[in-house]
Amino acid sequence: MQGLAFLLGLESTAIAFAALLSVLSAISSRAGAGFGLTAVLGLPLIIPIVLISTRYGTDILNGILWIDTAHHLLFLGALTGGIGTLGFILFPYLWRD
Amino acid sequence: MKNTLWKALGILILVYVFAMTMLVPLGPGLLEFQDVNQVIESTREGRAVPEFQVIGFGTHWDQLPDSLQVFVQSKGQLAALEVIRVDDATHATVGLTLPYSLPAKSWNVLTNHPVDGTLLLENGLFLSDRFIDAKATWPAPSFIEHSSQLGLHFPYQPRIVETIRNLMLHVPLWFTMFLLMGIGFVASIKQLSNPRNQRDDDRAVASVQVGIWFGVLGLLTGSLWARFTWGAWWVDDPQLNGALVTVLVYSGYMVLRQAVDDERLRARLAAAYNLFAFVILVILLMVLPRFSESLHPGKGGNPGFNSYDLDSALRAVFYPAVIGWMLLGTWMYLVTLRMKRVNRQIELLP
Repeated sequence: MQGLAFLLGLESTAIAFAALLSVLSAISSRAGAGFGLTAVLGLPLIIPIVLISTRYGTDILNGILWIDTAHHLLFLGALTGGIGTLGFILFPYLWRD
Repeated sequence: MKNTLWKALGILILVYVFAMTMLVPLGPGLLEFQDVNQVIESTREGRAVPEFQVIGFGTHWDQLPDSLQVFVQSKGQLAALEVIRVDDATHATVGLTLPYSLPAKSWNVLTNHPVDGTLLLENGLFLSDRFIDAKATWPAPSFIEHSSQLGLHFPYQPRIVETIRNLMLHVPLWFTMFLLMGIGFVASIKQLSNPRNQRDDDRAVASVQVGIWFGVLGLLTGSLWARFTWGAWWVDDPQLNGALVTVLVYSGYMVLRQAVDDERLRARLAAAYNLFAFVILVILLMVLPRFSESLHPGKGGNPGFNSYDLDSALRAVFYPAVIGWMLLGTWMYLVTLRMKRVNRQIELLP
């Protein structure tokens, strides 16, 4: 159960990063500004994901029972869901001419 | 006429708010219940008892000193202490006339005074040298809760004390920021669904521009408040980090606009990014702090300024403050929007 919870957090973080960085790369590539813009736009958006996932990961690795730190996973899931859904909806709009 | 009326109203409300915030005095409260490390003779019980000092904040014990009553209370047990003398308006000496067997170690201290009303100091007395007997009881003394005879005053809150006035700045500034970012969010959705002209893009950028300033002011007032109540300008707290990240995300919005030259592309990309930014704002400032422990009031089981804390005097200033700041923010947004439109017209001139 503990391992599964860790894996869930890992997957959730990975999906959040993937969705966020795909949309930001799309924006900066459409803007024609290269990767500098991705870094500038991405940094503040990445901070909350990193903060929550590291806190969740350290909690699990320190042997805290997963149900006691599940609120972090819940929040990570909300963040992933929000970013993923929005990215999915907005992606076509970015490429439309 | 109609357009200037609400602006004048907003300014009037803010003038009222500032005047009230600065002029209304703070109500009385209890600072400390202090052991003096001396033993005095109790006239009531005819034996030696430890001497304690009650220290109040803004109290009026020098008026009617004979009617000051001091009680301690724990687990439904109430005991009256003997008031030896009232030293001045904020200091009184009491004798700890308690039996040796007590039902608890930790006690709330209450004072009763006709001018100040009933004041409470939570866990003001801690007795470690007594015999703890959960069944120890004694007849309750007569206790009538007084209400304060003072005029309009803000409630005394431990640790917050005079900085409670910051409530009229900090909270409405964030509310106004939420309102402006909400306007920007709606404008961005409209821009994405109807990309033919830049009207909604102008709305979005004007509201975000003004909203960032309100966010920065909210951070500054919050930082000041944290320095006073928590002892540090910044603490690692989900609510505070979320607020900072939100302001940074919206700064990214302005950076993105600088990076794109083509107007129609800029409108679309900025609108897409703005939707992201607003979702992040809602998640970080309204969802996350409720799920995690936070020092910030109103979050993580930490009582905020709810019906218990907001008394009628605070309400009479706080609600107008929210309306006043929102009206001012809307006005600033409309002025910025008009500037954008005028600039666009100027660019179109031959």
